[in-house]
Amino acid sequence: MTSSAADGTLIIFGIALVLMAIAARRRDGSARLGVKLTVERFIEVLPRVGLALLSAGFIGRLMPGEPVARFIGPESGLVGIMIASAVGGFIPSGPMVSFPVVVVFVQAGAGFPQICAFVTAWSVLALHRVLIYEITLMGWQFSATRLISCLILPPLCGLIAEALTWIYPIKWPPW
Amino acid sequence: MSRFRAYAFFDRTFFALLGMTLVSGVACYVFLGPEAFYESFYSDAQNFLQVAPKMGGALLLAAYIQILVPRDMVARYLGDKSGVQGVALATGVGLVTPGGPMTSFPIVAALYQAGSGRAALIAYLTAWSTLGFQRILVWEIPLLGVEFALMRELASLPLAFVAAGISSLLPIAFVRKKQP
Repeated sequence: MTSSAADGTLIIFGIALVLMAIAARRRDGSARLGVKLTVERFIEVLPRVGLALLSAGFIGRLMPGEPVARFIGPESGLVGIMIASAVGGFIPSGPMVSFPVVVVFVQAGAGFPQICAFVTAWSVLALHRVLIYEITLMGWQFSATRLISCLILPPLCGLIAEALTWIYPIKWPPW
Repeated sequence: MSRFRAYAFFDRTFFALLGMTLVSGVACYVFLGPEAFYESFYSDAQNFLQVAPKMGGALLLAAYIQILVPRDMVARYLGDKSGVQGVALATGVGLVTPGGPMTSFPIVAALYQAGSGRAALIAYLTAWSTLGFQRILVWEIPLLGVEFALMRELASLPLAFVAAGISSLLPIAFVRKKQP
């Protein structure tokens, strides 16, 4: 969505090629495995991203922007950060769904600190991950300890982000 | 090879996204008219073409990091340190651990079984989930740009330390499950 050429794509490809060369020097099929993995994931991710972007665009048009801007807009402050934290904690899915949701919210007028709180809440509370991996592998005591320890993080991240924008006013929306 | 799982193409996520796209697309066409529908469609198609090569590069980079960073390195760095130093190290390792929960959770579970400190493990999981470079490369930079990714990362840097600190104050006794 950023359109300038200096957006890191070339750097990313450059680093990837260097790592590819390192893998090729091992002569154990690592280089080919990397290409195979990339192609597999690209084929998996690409149609999903296409669909996610399309639906995000449609939903963004259907969703009235006014409530989003009012509840989690840049002027919504701590209350907006708290609301975004609560909403983010209940997105039960991986990045493929949650990041297009972020794009919709940003297009509809959400603020940067509120988006940071949202992403953090989704990252640390991620209910699907807790249920599928954490409780099964580590037991509920560990999950409970981690979740309680992390409860404060989404609003904290939002507040830090807010403070950062005083020092460096981020271009918002970013594209 | 189980570490590099093959993906199922038509899974629940795919059909959920497809359904969501169809419903929202039809709703957009019906309620807002064909003009709004096509406008939305073309602008998203354009975004998609911009995003796709970035994701390709990110996935290529992520794949080689996953291959080149030995998995036991993570375990080695998390296993024997404790205290603030351990938390700082855990944060750093969490930041660079590639892959989804199927790669990071087995490592954490094994260390947990072996008796690693909870503060370090919680710092690791928090750092991995809030700062993990792979998600930033594959999702945040293509969709929201470098500036957003860097600023959000900066705002999230202290989080792992806070979570580790709180966790060491909590009076919950751990019951270490037997390894299945």
